[in-house]
Amino acid sequence: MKHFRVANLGLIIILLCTGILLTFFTGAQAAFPEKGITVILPFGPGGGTDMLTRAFDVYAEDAFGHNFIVNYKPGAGSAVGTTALKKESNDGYTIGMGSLPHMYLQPASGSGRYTLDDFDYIALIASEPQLMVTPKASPNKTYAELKKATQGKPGEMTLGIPSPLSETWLSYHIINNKENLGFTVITYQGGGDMNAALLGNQVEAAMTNIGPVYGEIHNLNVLGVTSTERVSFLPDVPTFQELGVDVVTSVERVFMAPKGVPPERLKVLREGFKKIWHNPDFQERVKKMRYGMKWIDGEDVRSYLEEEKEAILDIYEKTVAEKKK
Amino acid sequence: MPEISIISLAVNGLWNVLSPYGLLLCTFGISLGIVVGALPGLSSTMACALLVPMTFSMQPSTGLILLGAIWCGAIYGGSNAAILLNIPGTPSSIATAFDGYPMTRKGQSERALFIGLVSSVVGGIVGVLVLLSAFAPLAALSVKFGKPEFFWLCIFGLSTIAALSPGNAIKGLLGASIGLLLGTIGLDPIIGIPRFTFGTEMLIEGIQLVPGLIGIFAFAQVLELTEQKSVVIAEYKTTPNLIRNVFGELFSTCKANLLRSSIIGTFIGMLPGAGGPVASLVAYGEAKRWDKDPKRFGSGVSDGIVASESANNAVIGASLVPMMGLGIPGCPTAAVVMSGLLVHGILPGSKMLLESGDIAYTFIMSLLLVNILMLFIGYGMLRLSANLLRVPTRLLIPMVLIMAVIGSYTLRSSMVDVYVMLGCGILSFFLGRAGVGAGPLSLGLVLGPLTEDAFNISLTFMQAKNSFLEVFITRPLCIFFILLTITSLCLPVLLDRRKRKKLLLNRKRKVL
Repeated sequence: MKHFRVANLGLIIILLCTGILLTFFTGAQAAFPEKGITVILPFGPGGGTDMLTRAFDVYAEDAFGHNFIVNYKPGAGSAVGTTALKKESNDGYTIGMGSLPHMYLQPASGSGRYTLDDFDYIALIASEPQLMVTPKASPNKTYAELKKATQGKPGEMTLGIPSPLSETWLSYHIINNKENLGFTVITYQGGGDMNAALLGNQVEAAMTNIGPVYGEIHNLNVLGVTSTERVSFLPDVPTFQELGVDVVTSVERVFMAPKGVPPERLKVLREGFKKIWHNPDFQERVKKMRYGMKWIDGEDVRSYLEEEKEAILDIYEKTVAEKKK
Repeated sequence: MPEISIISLAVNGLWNVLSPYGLLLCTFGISLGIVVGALPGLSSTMACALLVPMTFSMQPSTGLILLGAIWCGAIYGGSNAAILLNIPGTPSSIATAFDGYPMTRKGQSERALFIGLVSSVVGGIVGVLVLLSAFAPLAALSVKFGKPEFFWLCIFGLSTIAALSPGNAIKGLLGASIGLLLGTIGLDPIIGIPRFTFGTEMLIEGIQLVPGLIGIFAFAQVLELTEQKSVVIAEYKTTPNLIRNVFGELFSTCKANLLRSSIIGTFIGMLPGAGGPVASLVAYGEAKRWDKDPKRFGSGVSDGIVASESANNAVIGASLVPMMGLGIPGCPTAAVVMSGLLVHGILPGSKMLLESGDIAYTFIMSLLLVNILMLFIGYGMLRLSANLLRVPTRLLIPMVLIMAVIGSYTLRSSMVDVYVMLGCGILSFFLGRAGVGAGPLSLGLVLGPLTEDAFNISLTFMQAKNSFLEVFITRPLCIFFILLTITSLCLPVLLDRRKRKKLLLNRKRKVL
């Protein structure tokens, strides 16, 4: 009886060892990723960021062997989704899209409970400038005219922005700090809402991304764009620098993962995204959707963000402090 | 000659849709939509959002046909659950339950379902015809409707509380106030300060409409059903001469109501931001107000279903007016459909007619066809869904509960929404015990955030213009809605008083 038990025990130990060894080997051999990577989008389905992610998804099978699983976590202008990503597992199977300047402003205002240090960065993939526009019927068809119209009556004219504490909020305030336009800012619930007000002549101007207004851009006066060079598909729109206002702003998108992804997996992710982004077919596809594309390698993203953050938080503090006064 | 080209575009579009593939897509979309819509928890927006990625690989017009068919199907499908189980399948069919469920309890489920179907089809066609005939000029008009006007429209919407709370107006007001209060939970939309979150992160996003409504209706109904002793919800009886019976009624006694509700749905649908729930609730309120005997509403009358269902289906075509005309989605579902266009590089808006008019008109004509096809497909599926009543309550309860949890969770993949659903359900159940109906409660929840946003923005305008009158009052449409609200509040009181006087006079005469 006793021998039998010992023999049994021995057998079990041997089996266990082979089992562990086997899983170790297969584990070591199976390449990451073994299954689809989940992408947490901090915005709802159907928006610009969704379509951008879907464009990546078209080539995901080439790069990773699996399609993405897109998981929408919209709310509070991306604060909810970004905070949620921080809490996800850092095995490399869950990544997310982050937006800037949201990721500078939200922790500062308290609406987002995360910091730039909570993430490992895969790549910076897109960058888009903002536009200042007026309704077609407006008498102010150029920036100079609009500026002149605002002088001497602070707060009397209205300017619409599509969401609070976002890139458009920031770019207006950066311009305002230099130029003293003094608009009353009307905060709408999204691009469609703001667009309706603009086309219905209910606001006197608006600061917006290109996406929401591009379809009806012939029904608007576009006064200026906040990029360093003119936008290829809006060749007649001057940059603010050309107008003598030294302002450059943009909304940028990054792919990132919760901090602590194993280095070899992070490498796979970075290389995969690099491969997709540099694919001419992909570039053609996003060009058709009029995306502003920009590339920064994953290793360099954090230092770039830290640098940007300081300048932007400076403006934020100033603006908010002034409002409190 | 732009008019000729529009007609040829429309004919071409119809031709595209009538291809075997187009018809197949419509049939598939409608059937899928009805099923998804009927499941409590999956709204039309969700159904379209889940299918949009599938359309990315399709031709733009094919993808649109599919999305349009699912949308129409889902809005009608929502009425099935509302009528049979007292659980609106989509937020747009809240008002359908008010009279649909009592009809089921009376054994008239089949009739109620068919009335819902025919009204949906009529409303849907009215909406599409408006879209087809004049979307460009109407879109230009719809953006003239500013936030102050929207604010007064919301106030007018709130004035229908009286109509939604039969018997006791005070309890109705109480319910609506609780609904409005629930709507204030979460980040303040302007300053971003958390309200009523009790210091937790959970409620920072507020009570989302869909889980809130699933709780108020589905979970509360589950609790209600657990108390019921009978084996099934209601007896299932077939109605003899169903088609003749319903058509006869709808196109004689309900004619005016059908037309009025379709027009209300079309009007509200065209305004960016309101959508199906508001339209059907307002149409229901109006149907009751204009009725000769308003007291019969809520006891299971056809007019209630007619109002709600024709209005919410009219919203579909109408909410595409600002999208097709100016690239502004009229409601959340329209926004999802729009992304199906954008991904192909097609920009909906005033240039669409020139650049991709064929796609636009194929889509519009497909909606028309979908509505006609829905009459037949819906009729075919009618008995199938009515059979739900044969399912014993003890099986129905877990089924509904599972759907409610899944529906709440999938919205944002978050357990918070499930807790919100459960919380709202328990609240609604106990309020129901106290005689406070789910109708006013949901009205408050639907209109609260819309009203607040419109009010906040109007206030900012007031600050800029430095004039209360200019922003809030002296605009033609503002005055119109203010007057409408005042009449809607005073009319019942005046009528009541007159009736009482008459009664008194009669009595006096008798005494004399």
